Amino acid sequence: MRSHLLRRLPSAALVLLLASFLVFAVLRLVPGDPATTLAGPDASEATVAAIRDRLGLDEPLPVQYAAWIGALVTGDLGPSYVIGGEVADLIGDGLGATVELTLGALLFALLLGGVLGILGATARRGWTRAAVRAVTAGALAVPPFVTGVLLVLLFSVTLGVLPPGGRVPLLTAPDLGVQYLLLPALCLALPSAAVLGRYLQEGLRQALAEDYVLTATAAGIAPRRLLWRHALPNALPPVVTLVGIQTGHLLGGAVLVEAIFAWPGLGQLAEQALNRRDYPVVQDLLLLLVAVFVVVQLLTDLAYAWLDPRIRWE
Amino acid sequence: MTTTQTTDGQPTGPPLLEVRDLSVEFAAPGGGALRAVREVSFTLRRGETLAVVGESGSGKSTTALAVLGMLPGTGRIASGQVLLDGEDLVTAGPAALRAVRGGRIGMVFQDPMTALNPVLTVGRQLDEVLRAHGAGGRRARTERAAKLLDLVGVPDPRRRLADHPHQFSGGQRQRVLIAMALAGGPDLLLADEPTTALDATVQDRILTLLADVGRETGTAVVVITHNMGVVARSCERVLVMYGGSVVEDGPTARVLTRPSHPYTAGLLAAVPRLSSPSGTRLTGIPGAPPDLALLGDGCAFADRCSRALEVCRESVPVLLPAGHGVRTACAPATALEGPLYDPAPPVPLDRPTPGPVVLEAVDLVKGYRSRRRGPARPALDGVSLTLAAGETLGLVGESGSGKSTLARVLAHAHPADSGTLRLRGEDVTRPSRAALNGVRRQVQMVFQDPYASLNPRMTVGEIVAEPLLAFGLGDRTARERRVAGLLRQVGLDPAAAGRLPRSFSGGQRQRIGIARALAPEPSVLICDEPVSALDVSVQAQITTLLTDLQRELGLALVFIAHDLAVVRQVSHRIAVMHQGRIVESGPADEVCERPRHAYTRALLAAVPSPVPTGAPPARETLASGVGV
Amino acid sequence: MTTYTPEKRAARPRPPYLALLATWRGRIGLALVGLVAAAGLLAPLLTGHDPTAQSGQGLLGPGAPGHPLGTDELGRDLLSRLLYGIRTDLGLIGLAVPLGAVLGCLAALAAAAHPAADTVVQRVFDLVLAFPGLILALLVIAVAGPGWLPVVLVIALAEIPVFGRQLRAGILVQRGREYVTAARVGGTSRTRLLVRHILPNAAEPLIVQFAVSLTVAVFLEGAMSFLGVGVRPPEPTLGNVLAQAMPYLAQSPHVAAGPLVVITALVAGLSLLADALNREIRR
Repeated sequence: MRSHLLRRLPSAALVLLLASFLVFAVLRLVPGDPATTLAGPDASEATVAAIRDRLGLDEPLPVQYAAWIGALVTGDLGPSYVIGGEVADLIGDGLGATVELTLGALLFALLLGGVLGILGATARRGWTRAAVRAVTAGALAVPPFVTGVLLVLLFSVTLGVLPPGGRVPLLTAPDLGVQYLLLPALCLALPSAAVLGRYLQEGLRQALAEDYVLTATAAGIAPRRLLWRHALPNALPPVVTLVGIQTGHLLGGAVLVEAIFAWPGLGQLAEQALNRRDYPVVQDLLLLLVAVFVVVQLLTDLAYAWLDPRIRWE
Repeated sequence: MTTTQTTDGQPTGPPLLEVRDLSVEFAAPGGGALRAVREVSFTLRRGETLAVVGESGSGKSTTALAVLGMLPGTGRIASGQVLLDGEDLVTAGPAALRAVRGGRIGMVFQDPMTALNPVLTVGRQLDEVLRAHGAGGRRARTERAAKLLDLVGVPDPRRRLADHPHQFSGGQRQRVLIAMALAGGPDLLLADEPTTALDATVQDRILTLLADVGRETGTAVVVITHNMGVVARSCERVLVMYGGSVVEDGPTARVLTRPSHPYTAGLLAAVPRLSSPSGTRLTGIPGAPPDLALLGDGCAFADRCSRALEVCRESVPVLLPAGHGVRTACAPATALEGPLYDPAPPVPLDRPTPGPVVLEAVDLVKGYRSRRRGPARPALDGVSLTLAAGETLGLVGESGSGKSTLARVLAHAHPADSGTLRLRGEDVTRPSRAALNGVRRQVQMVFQDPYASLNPRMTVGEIVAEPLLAFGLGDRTARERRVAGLLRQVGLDPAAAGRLPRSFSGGQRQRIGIARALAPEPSVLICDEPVSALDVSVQAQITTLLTDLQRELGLALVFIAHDLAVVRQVSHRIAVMHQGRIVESGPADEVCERPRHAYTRALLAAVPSPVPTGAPPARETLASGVGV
Repeated sequence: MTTYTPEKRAARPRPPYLALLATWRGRIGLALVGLVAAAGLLAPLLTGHDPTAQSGQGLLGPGAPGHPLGTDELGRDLLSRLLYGIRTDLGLIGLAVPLGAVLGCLAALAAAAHPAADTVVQRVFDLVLAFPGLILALLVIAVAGPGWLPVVLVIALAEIPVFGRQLRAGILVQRGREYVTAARVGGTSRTRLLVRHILPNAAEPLIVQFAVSLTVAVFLEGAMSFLGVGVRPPEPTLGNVLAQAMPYLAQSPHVAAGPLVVITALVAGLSLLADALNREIRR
């Protein structure tokens, strides 16, 4: 188990390092003088000079890189020039909202995916299977921005039961917060739920067709126990890996869903920062998102190893 | 359990299991029904041992699954009864069936590598069965699980309960599976090809275990197998199946010596015997096992039967008593006077004496990179051999002995790490690119798996022409002519050239593989387990083809197999491989009759002979020093 | 002795794209995709309006004279915006997905050629995949700014590792197959082995992936338009038209209806095609 972690760690670290290079290069690849671009057309000479000094644009590239990483590690990200306020505060505010949305969506995706997967693999009746197939295909095929629009049309415009956008933090007002969270989380979760459901279904189908299930059936073990105790533990490890990847997609998708539902998270911040060319914010944000994704994948790798004894004992 | 025994040792009393007119159908892709089992009837008494023998498509495994109500996919019991102590399992509800499965009938499947759940401990899997059949509290169940492992001969059972399947060897896994089948204290143990995936020495031990367990617990044992040796070795009675029907049913001793059905007779003639000297010709049954979808009315065997009459094609023959406790489903044969099968020693072929040495290997070493820590044992550990023109060198060994690696090194599919390879005296160990082509023209290979070794997207013509193209032999029309000639040479219709491999049976595919190997007119043919994946009746066709080709073309053959009996018949000389080394080599008859190495002796002792012993199988056949 | 038994089966199986027409999934999928594509390609013939011309009559309902689908808030004809939007999308994904597929396959071939190249290619794929979907889009837009070409780049870049990994895995699997060893022993050269034996068997799943990737491309274009980092308005794309309808969803839902229906039809059609191809290949 530990050796498994040690084997995965270098490649994860390498990806993170390369990603940081790439993100760092972004600011330097922008045409023209970044400081002037950052300060905007109406800025004074002094502002441009301040920005240049703050970003250390006169320093050699390795020094600039080191300073940036140092700032990231200490959490002292400095001020945002265009949006205003400390970068750390901006990201901190958005992070809470995005984590809330992503976790909500993950919960939905796991529940829905689990139900779809197990129903799809075990349903005997034709119409149940057809329904599972239709729901899965639909959730997979319709883009989130379309489901988002449809959800708003149905629940907010027509029925008027849920707000069409905005956020009330779940921790300050749980009852109200849930109402605001429900639609964006569902919209974000649907594609992932469908993918997870399909994978789980396929995994269970394969496991149920394995010889060991035949052995267990011939030994008189009941179908329900066969599913939960024999097939599921075999179908689960690849699904866990997928959950890691899907968490990344949820993070990425959150950017979009936040735009649709006016959810004040990191995606909104990124959109704002990009449109207003606040590059320091963009940089820090991108690297943060990649780091979260890499860590989540590492965790799911570990979960996989823990679930599969053939790796656990290696 | 008490079993009343008559004086001749045969158990009597009411039948434990009675199968009446059982028919099983699957939905055919075209929409019709495919009958996999046709009106099968047999009875089994308590404590009896019964073998069900047949080739692929005979319906033997389907019958077993039908008994347990476990037919896969679209399979359903079309008619008939399965009476267990008088209770019909066909009409039984799911709960009643679950109580029967594992509780009254235990089942062991073919492949111990896949039949155990990889993520659950062995203890847990035994516990699941015990739980399902209400074997007390957790502590009692653990106690019982340890006892079961002990019963099937797994050492240190208490500790091993916590291990996962991948920590056991193949033979031990099969033992665990037998323990699982016995956990519910069944009256009947159904073993579907329980030793097919195992090496001969391990197979021997598992068969011994099954016999012991049957005797000690009074459990009736049904062994489903394609191996006549296993039948003779382990069962009192035998049921021969073909094309979904029972064609013969009787005491093993009688059926295996005086078969009353032409198929049984043909099968017995096709089985290689360890006692037959080198160069004996095997007689296969012409044709291939039937395609169940195309089976019409009439005897399924009629198309391959030399004694078939008009009546055979008109109606399905029924089982009729043929004396000596045998029932047979062949009207012409029951009317026949003399024996169908004559076990007189067959005449050896006259073979031309081998010519000069063509291939010589000295001290070949080949290791594989190992992902696990610890010293990796090389797959080849200093192998030397010579091969003469027109000679067949038989290479035997169990799985992991390095024989397949040797084949690949000899055929230049992989380079050797060290050692020398000489072709007609010339060093070809590490040939240059140009020289490699020359070597490959000379040394060709036939592979074990006739399904995996043909590119599924190329037509047979393209596959056979591939080496011609690669070596630049002839233009388009010349190649086409040559392909047609090659196909004819291996016994296929030249029209086969336009088709894809998937429309051919296993034996036919193996012929295609041989045609491909012959295309560049090689002088050496390396055959890596060329008949292991084939049915016995087809196996004989292919070995005969290879010997005929050798005589015609003066080929030097390396014939690799794990079945010593086949190897002895086709080979001039035999080399025995064990752990990457050749431990013994010499003239085929010499090695088989006067083995010098302990491992060779163990291997020989483990080969189950298709000749019934009459008495219960001897238990002293195990040689020491060979790990399971 | 001739043991060859003739069979009714065709000498060669039909290629999957033809067999598609025999399944209901394939037929409906092709019909949906064909319909949407035809509408986009024939846009100039189907409508006389300039998709960016403002008529001054904002938010007309459907069925208004001269505007069968009505107009948007700036008085632009919705039908022509929709049709030209399809046209833009077709161009985008028609360029980006093949580009990504070709680059990905080239990378996989390079990886197959040498272990060192394999390591490099693998790490590059890891890196690209570390920026899931839209985050990659943000990165590219941060450098290149919004526009038509950056959208193509984003889609292509996202597809490179998808195709590359799949082909690489396929090549590895096929390489281990016995028929490849058999061909090698039969003297087949390395190039011919790869081109004639390994690739045809390894590349089959890529056909399915291609259909799936087309849907992903529609997703990405739309998402980028919603974020305001896609093709710049007023040029219509399916995503743009839909995104611009969002503020008027409550009072004028018809503005959103057109793109909703078209995107759903296109994506559903592509998914059905992918599904049908997959079933055909697995058989």
